[in-house]
Amino acid sequence: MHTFAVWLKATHISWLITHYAWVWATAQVIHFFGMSLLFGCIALLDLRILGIGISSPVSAVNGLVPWGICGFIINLLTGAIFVIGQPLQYVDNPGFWLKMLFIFLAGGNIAIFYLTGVADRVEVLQAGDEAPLVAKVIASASLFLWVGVMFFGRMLPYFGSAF
Amino acid sequence: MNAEMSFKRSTRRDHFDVDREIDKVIHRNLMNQSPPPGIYSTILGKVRIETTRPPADPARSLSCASALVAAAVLIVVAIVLAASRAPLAATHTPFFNWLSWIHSTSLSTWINESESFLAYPTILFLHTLGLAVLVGFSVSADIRLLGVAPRIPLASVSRLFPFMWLGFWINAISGTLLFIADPIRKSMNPLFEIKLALVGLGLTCMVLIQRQLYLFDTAPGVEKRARSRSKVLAISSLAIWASAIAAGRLLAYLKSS
Amino acid sequence: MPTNPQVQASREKEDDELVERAVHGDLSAFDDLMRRHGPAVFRAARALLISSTDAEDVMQEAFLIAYRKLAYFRGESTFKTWLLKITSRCALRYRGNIARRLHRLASSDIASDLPSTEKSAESALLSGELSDALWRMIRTLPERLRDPLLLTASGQYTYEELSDILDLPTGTIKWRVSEARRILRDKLQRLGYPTRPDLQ
Repeated sequence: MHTFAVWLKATHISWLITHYAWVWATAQVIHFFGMSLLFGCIALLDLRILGIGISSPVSAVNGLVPWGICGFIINLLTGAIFVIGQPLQYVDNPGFWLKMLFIFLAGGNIAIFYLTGVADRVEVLQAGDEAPLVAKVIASASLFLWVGVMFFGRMLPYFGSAF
Repeated sequence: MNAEMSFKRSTRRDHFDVDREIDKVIHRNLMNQSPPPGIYSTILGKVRIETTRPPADPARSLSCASALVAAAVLIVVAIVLAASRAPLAATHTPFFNWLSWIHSTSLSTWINESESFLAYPTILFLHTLGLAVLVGFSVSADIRLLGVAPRIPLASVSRLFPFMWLGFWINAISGTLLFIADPIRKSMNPLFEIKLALVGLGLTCMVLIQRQLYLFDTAPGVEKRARSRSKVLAISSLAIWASAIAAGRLLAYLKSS
Repeated sequence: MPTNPQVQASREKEDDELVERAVHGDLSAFDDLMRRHGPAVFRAARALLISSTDAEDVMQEAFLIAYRKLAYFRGESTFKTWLLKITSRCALRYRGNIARRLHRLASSDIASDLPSTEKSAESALLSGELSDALWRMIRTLPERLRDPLLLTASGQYTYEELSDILDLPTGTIKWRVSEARRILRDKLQRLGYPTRPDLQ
């Protein structure tokens, strides 16, 4: 892993990213915006499943999910910019790997949601209907995991030493 | 086909009269009554109460009032900070003294120097969390107003606002603590007051949107005109929050440079 | 009850227009909807609850819920079926609530009937009041059999509509109805009432 990071650092893209100061800053801004988009849409769905706040039919709230995915992709791309630009800062940083772990777990959580058919059971819920317990567990896990991703993202400087 | 008729057709003839008796009995006992005539007006009365008890006008609610106050405070502070930087060399202005005093308080020192995880890192995290909640839900509401996921009823969008206010207050408190930790450098940074002003504008936008949604609920005739207004507000809100995020991030970068 | 498909289709269209107006706040449109479907709602509630005072309560609640949820009604079924679904859910909720109260009331005429059904039914037979005996027997049927029986016998729904309303497959409903009738026939037979014309 470490040698890969060293190799990355030596690439031209990496140099480009770190050479122009505005690249990093802009990527940061877009990364935060993508995070807001992702969290806003996904948390909304989770809250609906948990029965907090909004109570419209789930199929209606589902319309926001593609935008949440958009936010995730935006962050994937900007995240890649960071890692390519300063790979050594991240590769040795336990905080970074924890963040990746949480993202992976969150993805797994989503996979479970869809693959075990819970998503279908939840899709048919009408206004005010209560979701099955399984769905609520998955929704709480989703909230917890994404907050965790944000947490470790914020804590990166404190875990690593190269910042 | 009618259930009763199809059932009769499939019954054996020798049970015919018992089933007929059963049906007669049921008809006599259940179908003999119509609903009492007064019931419709009773229901209508209850429906009227439901519709005329409007969702509390957000313009009068505590959250809106406090949000507007907060917005005003932010904008005023931004102006003050911008104005006070003019005499840059004057490091002994009363304002500067006041900032130094803040920096010297034990709270400030604790935040800065404490090794405890609960100090600076947590406050920073809470600030990010509040941002995610505030801007995240605000973005969801805005894109809904712009036509995404149109099957979400507008009433549901109104229910997002308490979360947004929660996010804002988390950030107001964590932001204040962050300021206390480093008042002088923050106030010397023009981006800081720009950020505050933008947040103030963002809050105002939120209040206007909330009011707009309330008008949708109670006066459907207003809808056509209000639609375009709400779209303008939604776009402005998105732009303002994006700029506020930009100002906040750049603040972190220019500070360390 | 119009079973003529053309009449039905035009009624459904009128319902849809009224719903559209009611959603936008036109209370007189909602009043029209109530008067058109009130009797059906009332009959369905009575079929499930028997008592007409209970049925009135449920009818009010059902229409209120329908008004609140009107904006979410997207025409996946006819308005009438949607309304009756709400009614049946209300009635079942209501029944679930009062069942506990009734148990405490122990002196309810249903409960006191049970040990002496046979006797009172017999005496009713002797006095010729067959319908009273039968009605009491119907009321003591288990609810899962009694509900489909009473609803089908009111003669206003197709099996498909009922299946939609009660959320049960049509086969189940048909089976329960015939089962209910079989039980009633057996009870009558045991009391000596000839169920076959040739034995009379």
